[in-house]
Amino acid sequence: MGIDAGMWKLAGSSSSSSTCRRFHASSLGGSSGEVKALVVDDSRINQMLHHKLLDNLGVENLVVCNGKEAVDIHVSGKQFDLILMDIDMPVMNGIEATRKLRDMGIRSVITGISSHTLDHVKQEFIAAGIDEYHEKPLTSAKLLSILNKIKHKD
Amino acid sequence: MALRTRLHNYIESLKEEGVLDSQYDHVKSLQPDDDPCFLVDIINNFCNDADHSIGELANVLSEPIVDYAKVMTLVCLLKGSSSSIGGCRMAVACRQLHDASVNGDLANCCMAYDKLVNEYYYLRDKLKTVHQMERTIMHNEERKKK
Repeated sequence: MGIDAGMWKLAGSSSSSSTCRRFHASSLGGSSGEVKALVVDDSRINQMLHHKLLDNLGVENLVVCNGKEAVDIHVSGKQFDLILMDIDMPVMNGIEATRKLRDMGIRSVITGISSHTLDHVKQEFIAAGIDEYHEKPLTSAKLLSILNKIKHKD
Repeated sequence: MALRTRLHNYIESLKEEGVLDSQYDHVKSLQPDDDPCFLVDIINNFCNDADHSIGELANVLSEPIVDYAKVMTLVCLLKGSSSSIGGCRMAVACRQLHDASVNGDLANCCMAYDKLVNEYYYLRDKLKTVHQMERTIMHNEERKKK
């Protein structure tokens, strides 16, 4: 099962930025190695913004366009500490993707990021297995609180 | 420097008007030193994607049987991108259309859609001005380096 050509890799390698801090899992008190994140969103704007947010914090990250690509990338053997999951996406939405990932035994922190305000949708997302939910837009402060929770989880 | 000041004042006026909020500053702060086109690209992508979604919404709302689930999906996309770029008034208009579509109320959906379109065109117009000013600043800075 190959990875769709629509997926693009955006490594957190902006070494020219003096403000870039490597977000090492070891500095979070967990096992050694960098924190790796997966951004799952069909919106180009949010892909760019979430990638840049993670990049600026030195978090290596990949971006995919829908839930199926998120599942496929895990089937290929890649692992992530953090998955930022949107809800409404073509091919496979975030709720179904979360369910499939949990069924596969994926224990990454999955944070739902969406514009949905309907309670029943949020509840369905939580029931599918996300660890927490944030309404868009995702800010640096929200992301830092998520990353700190990964620290405490480790 | 004068153009930078003018751009800053323009953005502040848009915030006072309620068109943009502090999220815009947050987006701008993400711009890396080695990628001066970042903000311009964000604005471009926002406008291109929103143009498409607004058009799709018009099509869906004009169907004999309206697919409200599709309306909600498109509105969520618009709300997400507009709030992510700091377009708070447009995000509020998206919320109103979303609420009308939850209730399956076509009349209110159409009114909310018209309001959303107005807010989007207004925001797009302002962002295009920002876009032009940013590009001029970039161009001037590149000329200075040479």
